[in-house]
Amino acid sequence: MVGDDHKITPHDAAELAACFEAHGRRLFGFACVLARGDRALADDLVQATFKAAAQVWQTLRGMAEDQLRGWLRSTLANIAASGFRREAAFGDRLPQLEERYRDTTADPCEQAFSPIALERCWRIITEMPKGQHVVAVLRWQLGMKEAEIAAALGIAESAVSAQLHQARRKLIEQLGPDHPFACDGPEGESS
Amino acid sequence: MRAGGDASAHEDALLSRVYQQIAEVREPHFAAGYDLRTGVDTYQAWLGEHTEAAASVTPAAEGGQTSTADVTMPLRAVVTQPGEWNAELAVIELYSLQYKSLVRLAAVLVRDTSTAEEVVQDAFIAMHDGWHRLKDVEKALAYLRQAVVNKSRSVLRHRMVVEKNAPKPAPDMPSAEHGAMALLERSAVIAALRDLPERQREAIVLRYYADLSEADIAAAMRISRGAVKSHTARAMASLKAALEQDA
Repeated sequence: MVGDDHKITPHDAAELAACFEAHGRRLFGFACVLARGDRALADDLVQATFKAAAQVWQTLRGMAEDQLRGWLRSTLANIAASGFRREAAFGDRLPQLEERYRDTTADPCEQAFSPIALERCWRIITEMPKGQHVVAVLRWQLGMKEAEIAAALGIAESAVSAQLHQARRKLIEQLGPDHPFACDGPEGESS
Repeated sequence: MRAGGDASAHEDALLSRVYQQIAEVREPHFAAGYDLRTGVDTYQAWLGEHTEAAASVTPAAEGGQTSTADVTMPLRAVVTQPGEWNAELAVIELYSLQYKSLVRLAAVLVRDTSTAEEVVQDAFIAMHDGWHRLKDVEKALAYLRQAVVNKSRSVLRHRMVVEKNAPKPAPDMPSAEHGAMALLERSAVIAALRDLPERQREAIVLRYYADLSEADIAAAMRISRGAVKSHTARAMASLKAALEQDA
């Protein structure tokens, strides 16, 4: 990641280590979600993200906390997306479904979807082919447009559309008729 | 247009919420199982491999001749008595006076602010290490400029190699510096500058941006004054042609 002639100053190294202490744990959680429970891969992603941070620390150091958190997350997701694509070994490390995480403690007020529906979606996500998973994460987790995804992954936009279409069908089906927006149908649906 | 585009836009909004909520629910659980200590240790080991040796900042041996009383002198006075200043004071003084203008110079050459700052910091470290060879402020400043130009060149050379075979870098979040640079980059002059051959660009930047004399440019680029003149003249001709074409 860092070129041979790129040296970090001792002062920056201390700041970077502190930044890792502050953000590493939560970032690992996010990495696990993207890696669908593969902790070894998530671990690698976190390390790679902070190595990337060391390279542009002069820019990052002045950022507000939430801006920095945003940078770390989107950088990690980008590394994950390119890693998923390149790394042939990833196929053998297909994540195990984390069945034991049923006792979710999230604030019920924020639970717009039923835990059961989310659990079903999570299962679909973990079982998706990895190409679909990458495209879906970029689209729905990071809010990228189809054209942006195509450019980021170096694939045709039509391929992105096709992948998204399949993922969308599977996930919407899992949400079933009981999702909170089932009644307010899409405006202007005329087909 | 794709049929059912509105429907899929609605579904996209829905699925974005699904993904956000899945992350919200699962992240804390995954995070709780993280071995932060090991993570930090691994990272620090890597940082250690990529950190400058602290030894490079030790004062030069000649510093012993300078009495410690110098430290209490006003900085301005230190510079006007070149025989007595030491490396630390020289760095502090020049840093406070010249850092910004040197970063601007490097930024025009390497085209991004954070690299420019690194280049300038490296130049100061190099000056610190070699301070005993520098007898007065003028020389130290010329040395700094030359170091900035040289280091910028090697950054550009290194970047060309890296860009040729590097995977797509992760995009940075936009920052204040980026905004400022973007503003610079939008200017037609900068765009035209970018197309110039490297030496011509350096000559122009040093002449009109850093406002150096021909002699200073010759020293910073290690070329003759005649060469400075011809680089500058050719660059001006190309810029003029490029800007007239745009207009």
